[in-house]
Amino acid sequence: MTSAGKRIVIPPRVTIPIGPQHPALKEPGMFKLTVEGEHIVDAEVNIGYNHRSIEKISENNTHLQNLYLASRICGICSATHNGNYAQAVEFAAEVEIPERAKFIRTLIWELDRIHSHILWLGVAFHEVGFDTAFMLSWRDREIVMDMLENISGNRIHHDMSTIGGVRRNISDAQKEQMLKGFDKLEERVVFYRDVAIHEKTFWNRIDGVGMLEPPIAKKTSAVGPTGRGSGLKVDVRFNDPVQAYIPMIDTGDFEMVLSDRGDVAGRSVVRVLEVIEAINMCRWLLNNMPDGPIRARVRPRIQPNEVLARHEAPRGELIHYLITNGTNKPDRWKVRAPTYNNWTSMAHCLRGDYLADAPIILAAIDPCYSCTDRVVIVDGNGETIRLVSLDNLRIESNKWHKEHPRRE
Amino acid sequence: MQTALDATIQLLAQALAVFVFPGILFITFLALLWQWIDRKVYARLQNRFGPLHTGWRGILQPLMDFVKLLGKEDLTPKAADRRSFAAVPVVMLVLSLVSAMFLPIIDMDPGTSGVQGILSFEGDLVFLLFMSTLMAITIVLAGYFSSNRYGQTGSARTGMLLISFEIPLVLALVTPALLTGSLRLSIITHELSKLSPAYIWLMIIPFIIYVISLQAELERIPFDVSHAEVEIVHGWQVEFSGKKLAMINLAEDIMLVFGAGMVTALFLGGPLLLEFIPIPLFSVEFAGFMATTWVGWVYYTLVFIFKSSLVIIVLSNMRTAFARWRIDQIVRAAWKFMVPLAIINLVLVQIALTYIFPILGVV
Repeated sequence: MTSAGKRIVIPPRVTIPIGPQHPALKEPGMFKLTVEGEHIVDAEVNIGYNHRSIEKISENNTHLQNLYLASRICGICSATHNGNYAQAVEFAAEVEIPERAKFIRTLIWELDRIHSHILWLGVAFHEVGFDTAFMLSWRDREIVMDMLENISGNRIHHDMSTIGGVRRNISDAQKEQMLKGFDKLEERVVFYRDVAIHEKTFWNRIDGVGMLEPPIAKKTSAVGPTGRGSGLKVDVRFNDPVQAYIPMIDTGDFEMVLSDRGDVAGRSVVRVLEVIEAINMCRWLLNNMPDGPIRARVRPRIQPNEVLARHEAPRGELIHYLITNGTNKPDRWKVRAPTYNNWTSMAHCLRGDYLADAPIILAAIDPCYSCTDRVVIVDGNGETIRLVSLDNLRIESNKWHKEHPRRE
Repeated sequence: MQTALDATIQLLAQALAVFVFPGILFITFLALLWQWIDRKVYARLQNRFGPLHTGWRGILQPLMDFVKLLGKEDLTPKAADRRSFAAVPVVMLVLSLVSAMFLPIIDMDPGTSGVQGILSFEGDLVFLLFMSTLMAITIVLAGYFSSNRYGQTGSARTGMLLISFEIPLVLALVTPALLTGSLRLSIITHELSKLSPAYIWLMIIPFIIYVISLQAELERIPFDVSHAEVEIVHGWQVEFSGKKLAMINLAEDIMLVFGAGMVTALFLGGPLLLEFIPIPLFSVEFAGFMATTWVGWVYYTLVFIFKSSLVIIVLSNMRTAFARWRIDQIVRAAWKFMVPLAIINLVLVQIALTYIFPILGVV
């Protein structure tokens, strides 16, 4: 009588959609979770709701215009896209930028990492319902935001890098101000590290949740804190240093932050410790900054070339692939954001965990949808890929709505 | 003729008590006030300001939220069970109001000893526990009536929370009943105030258990799994909107008034404050003056508000200090820690009453 076909599964399997619009997600994405009671038995990840065709737009812009477009790819890691594009164009033009410019660019990248990681920490606190720590950590993030505003003029879109160097110089007064700010920031970050590790209600929510074993992390090519939280030695700053990372790593004072836990707790610890490491890096950069010009002249027409620029963004390895054709516009520009790599391990992390853990697991890779969604796929049938202009899209949608009148 | 007039005046007075003071209107006022205190304390502990613009330091903000929600569009999902769906907010509001009417805020029946609420009868403690369970069952049904997946998950979680924390809640209330030998709220409050201070030691553990279980009953952080906005988008409330949501929010606030009032009545000595000073001037003359004249109405109300708001501040602090627990962690914590603690506490109370207190000579 107990044949497999007649077995009644209690509780029944329910598909719960997280997204495209959901309070746990700060940007649109779709996660279909099949749950049995509270256990997730299957997960499906759908992305692509935030496509803005930035790569296509860039082909009609000059390189200088693209710098500002690149920083608008993402609000949180704007300095990394902006700096990495400038770096790619410099590689293509085969120019060497002044030492001081390299240091300032690296400093902006590290400041960006600090603010991104503290922001992530706040989001992680929020996802497990610890709103007090969320509010307080975002208050203290203002210290680094004020620093960025002080040296670049903007809180979010710094646009500090330009082709051949940086836009602005750092004065001695600003340097002293920043060093003072780092002392306060370090004190606060150490406090949050202790909160994250010693506050039992928070630690119990992240301990052993969303396991990503090192072999699977390697197979799914996890990058950034997701990979380092699983013990993978992936950090472009150390593996393939560029800019001022070269003299900085050569001092031997800095080490890659690794954790062999492989769960959300490992990723959290890696991120928090990385903030402290980044503060020390910023101190080193400020104290050892050489004098000299901040910008080298680069001709607007870039010789035909094909380059790959790598950089360790807060979320992991960021790749800008650029083909230049002798004009002042790129032939092709491809951005591979770190979130794209980390998606592949997502379904594995989610499977077997509780529904209540889904938001923190999703948040643990620090997903940045706007970085990732730039693939031009318009037709859903899988047969053709075509570009549709806005006017055509409007005509088609009007037609569709006429054929499908609104339900009662 | 005279009797008819007396009966009419009696009826009017009772209607006034039920509808205005200390009945529906006063309880609603308290509910909105508690919400404001809760929000303000929660915000200040997070280094925020909280409500600021409506009224004095935003004190009218809860009322504005309520009024604004009343004017919003009221939607019923197609798949929902229409009548039951519409009935849920009303049932919740009525249940919470009826529960709150048992609170001994002022003395409604000066003939009997002790401060009586509007409703009071022998065994009302059991009835109140039944009402709070009924409230939880209504919440479970609310999620299922809305036919929403988030709502159903939230309902399942509420059910699990209920079976975990109803038991320590009930066991915590056994101690005051045991000490006074009564199941009537007013008698318990009255008798407890006459016991010797040594009995405070027996009340500490049940007080802690009750406050923690109350936080779970009210579904607040760290027990807000059935709301959990980042996981299941406010759980069972997700489909309610407009007037229905306003009524549900009000019902939850009234349950907060009821919960804090129960703590006040059973553990903090009810609406008595200066009477506890062991000087005849206070414990005899002042108490008698307050119990017999209209000044007592004002005095008892103010003391009740003062003590309840202390409880609210404790609950707000709990809400600030923790992250949200997962439902399996909650169930495990409840059955491995809270329930055994409540049972051990009962054994200890019994041993103390039978063996230790007679030896020490405590009456």
